[in-house]
Formats: sequence, structure tokens, C-alpha cells
Amino acid sequence: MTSQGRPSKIGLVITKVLTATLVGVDALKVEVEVDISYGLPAFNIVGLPETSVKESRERVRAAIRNSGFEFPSDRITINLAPADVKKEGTSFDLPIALGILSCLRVFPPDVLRDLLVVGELSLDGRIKETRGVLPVAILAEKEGVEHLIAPIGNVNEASIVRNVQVLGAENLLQIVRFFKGE
Amino acid sequence: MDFSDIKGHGKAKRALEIAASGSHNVLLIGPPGSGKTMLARRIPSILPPLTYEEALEVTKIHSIAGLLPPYASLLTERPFRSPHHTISDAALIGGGHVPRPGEVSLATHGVLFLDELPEFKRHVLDALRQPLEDGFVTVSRVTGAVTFPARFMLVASMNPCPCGYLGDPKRACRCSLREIRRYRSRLSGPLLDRIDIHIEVPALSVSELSSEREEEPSGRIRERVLRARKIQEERFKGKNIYANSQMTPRLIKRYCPTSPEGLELLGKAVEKLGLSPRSYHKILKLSRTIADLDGKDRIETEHIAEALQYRILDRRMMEGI
Repeated sequence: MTSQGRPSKIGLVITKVLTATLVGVDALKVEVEVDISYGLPAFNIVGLPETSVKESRERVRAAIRNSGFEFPSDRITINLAPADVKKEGTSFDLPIALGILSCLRVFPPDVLRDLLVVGELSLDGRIKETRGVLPVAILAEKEGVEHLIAPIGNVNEASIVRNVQVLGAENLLQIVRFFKGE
Repeated sequence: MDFSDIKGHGKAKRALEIAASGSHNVLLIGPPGSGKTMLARRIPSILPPLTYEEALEVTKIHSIAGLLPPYASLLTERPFRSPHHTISDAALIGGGHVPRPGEVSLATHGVLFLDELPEFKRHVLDALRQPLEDGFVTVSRVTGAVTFPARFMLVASMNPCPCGYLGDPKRACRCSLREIRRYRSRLSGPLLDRIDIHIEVPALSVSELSSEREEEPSGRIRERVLRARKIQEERFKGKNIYANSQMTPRLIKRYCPTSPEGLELLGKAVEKLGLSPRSYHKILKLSRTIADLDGKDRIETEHIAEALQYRILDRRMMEGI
């Protein structure tokens, strides 16, 4: 059997999570695409990640395992689109983690629709504050995205924006439970 | 912090009231310990409250710089930034591999206070020229060019000479003329030209310090500032500026009607001090603010005369010290 037509491991489609990166004083919408496929275990991030984004691999891996989920020993590829803008900062941890978990069908992937996610992960799965959440909330309003998941410590600043519902999260597990309706 | 904490310094307080009314840049000159920093730190207390749009911009910039404390919401106080004089140009203007806002942007809609102005590196100070003029900075890096807002009120302080006591009635100055000139020359002409108000902050005498007289609280000064700002708001409706200091030469022509005697005084002063055309316009703008505080439509001789008083450095330079 050749490589053509080889399916992604779990589902048929890759999953997408919306997040944002900062450009000057504004936020730019970024799509985190996650693909898990058969192959040698690997975890790669493409789409011009700066060092702080590349390091997110280790945080995501630990946070997922320490939240009680199994981290897949497969070939994981993350693409940050648009792939020609450099991405910096730690706010990609949470969207990447949620993308992987949704790829594994821990929760149905359609809950990620109409949702922007930002947040830094701690190794134990807690969600830490990141900088630039207000511009992200402003972006969400402009793009007509109704919900924003942000670290609990950034909720007040994000709530300044009127037409976006901001959900403050304390840890990864809490979000997964919320998505599963538990 | 309130202006009533400061004894005396009536002249300096008046100058700061004018500066706050028209958003003019200020340079405080005085011996060490005379109260320059105390005065500067109280300027935000007489500035008008932030509008919603301004507050949003201030909060946004602080959020990007990672300077919002956890659980903070909309910032409602005008920022007061006082970077140390060893600051680099990238930290002042904005920079880094992926550009981040610098002090000029963090001071947007507030005060940028540069204590001991001549101690700053000269190229750092000269980097201020563009944001002072334009109200924004563009930082170019490998990762692309980024524009940050930088609309602030510059407040700077300096000693009159390296030892600090030139012109002090009690202590003798130990500096040679050459040292004084070298100290002054650390400030470039173009930068000084952009500062509308220079005020002297002399050391107070013991009797003034221990005086029991009630000083005017910031609240009352602020009321006058607000009244002057209201006039400007009406004047500049739809012009995309909000304060007298931002007037272009065309607007100056239109909004600075001056009495003939006032114009004559200004003409003489400009000639005698050898002022640049920009300074000429600066004095007119400053006179406009003083007249607004006075509630007058036309700029009178007294307003011009007061504005001229705030050009000490030009006068000093003429006298050679």
C-alpha cells in the first residue's frame, strides 16, 4: 500500500481552532490546524513559529498528559495559518492542546466553531495569563466571532468588548468538561 | 497625589496648568531637590479624565506590552511613564525582534517624564523628534514594520548646569562656562524647539517651606483645565485634533487672532531672540491656550507676554549661558 489515501488516524478530517497573534497594536486571526497521522512519533509546528511558540510543544504535551489524557504517539503536525506571518508568544498553547484533543475526538470538533481561543498552559494543565488579550477580543468582535476562551486572569480586560462572550478558564480539564457538557 | 502637597512654586504650577490645558510639552529647570519631580508627578491629577476611546487605546497598549496586572479591566487613569536615563532607543521608541511598544507608546494619552534630560543618550533623545511631531512611531524589523500610537505630553527636567546651582541665590555654582555649555549642548536644538514651555523651579526658602498657607488642590486647577479644553474641543470639531498644541500653521492663522500690540511684541521678541519659525508658531499656540484659560477669543498682549516668559532657554542661550 502506498502512502496515497492513507487516512488520518482517528477522524477523517484535520481539526481547526481559531486563535490570534499580535501585529503591532492589533491582533491578527490565526487558524491552528492539527493533523494526526500514522508514522514515526513526531510533533511539529509549522507556519513561522518563533522560539516561544516552538517551545509550546513541551508544555502542550505535559499539560495534556497531566490532565489525564493520553498523548498520541503518532505523527502530529500543527500548521499556523496564515503561514507567512511570524508567530510569537505563549498564547498558542491552549488552542494547540484543544486542537489535538479534538482531533482525538475527546470532544466533538464542532464545538470549536465560532470560538476564539488564547491561553498559556502550565505543565499541570492550568491556564496562565497571556499578554494582548484585549486586542484579541476586539478582533473577535470585528470578525463576528461570538465566543472567546481566555485565561481567567484576562477575563476582565477581554470583557471590555461588548459583543463577545468571554469564557474564563482555569485549566484544560475544565474546558474539556465544558465541551462535553459534563 | 495632589498639587496641594507642594508648597509655593506658584509660577511653576501656573505653567503646568497651561501645559495641561493645551497639551504642551514642558521642561522644568532647577537645582537638585527643588521639587521638579514632585511637580511633574502631579500633572496627571490635573489632566482631563480619559474618554472611552482613549482608555481603550491605553488598555490595549498595556495589554500588548504585558503590563496589565491579572484581573485588571479598563485602565481609567492617564499613564505616567518615567524611564531611567540609561534607557535604549529601542526601549523608548519600541522595538525588539518582534516589535513591542516602547515608553512613548505606553505614555500615550498621558505623560512621558524624562528626569535629568541631559543625562539621556543624545541619539535616544533625538529619536523622540518624530513621535513628538507625528503622534505615532513606525518600527521596522525583519518581521515587518509596525506602527504604534505615541501621542503623549513630554515633561522633562534638568539642572541649570552640571553642579546644579547656577542662578541659585544661596549656593555658588562651581561650573566653568565651558562645562555649562557642554552640558546644554547635550540637548539638540531641534528637540528644545519642540518644547513649548521652559520653567524655572527655584529652591524654596525655609519660610516658604514651613508656611501654613493652604495650597490650591488639583481638583480646582483641573476645573479650569477642563474649561479650556472644552473651548478647544468646540474649536477643533471635525479637525481630528483636540488641543492647541496640535494646530497646523493653517489652523494657527485661522484660530489665533491677535491684537496689533500683541503681534508687535511677538515680532520684536522673535527678532531679538532669533527664534525659528516653528518657535514663532509655538508661542502663538501657547498664547492661544493662555487666552483660552482667560476665556478670551482674541489673543491680547498680556497673553503673548506670558507665553514669551516660558522661553527661558532661548533667552539664556542669547546671553551665552
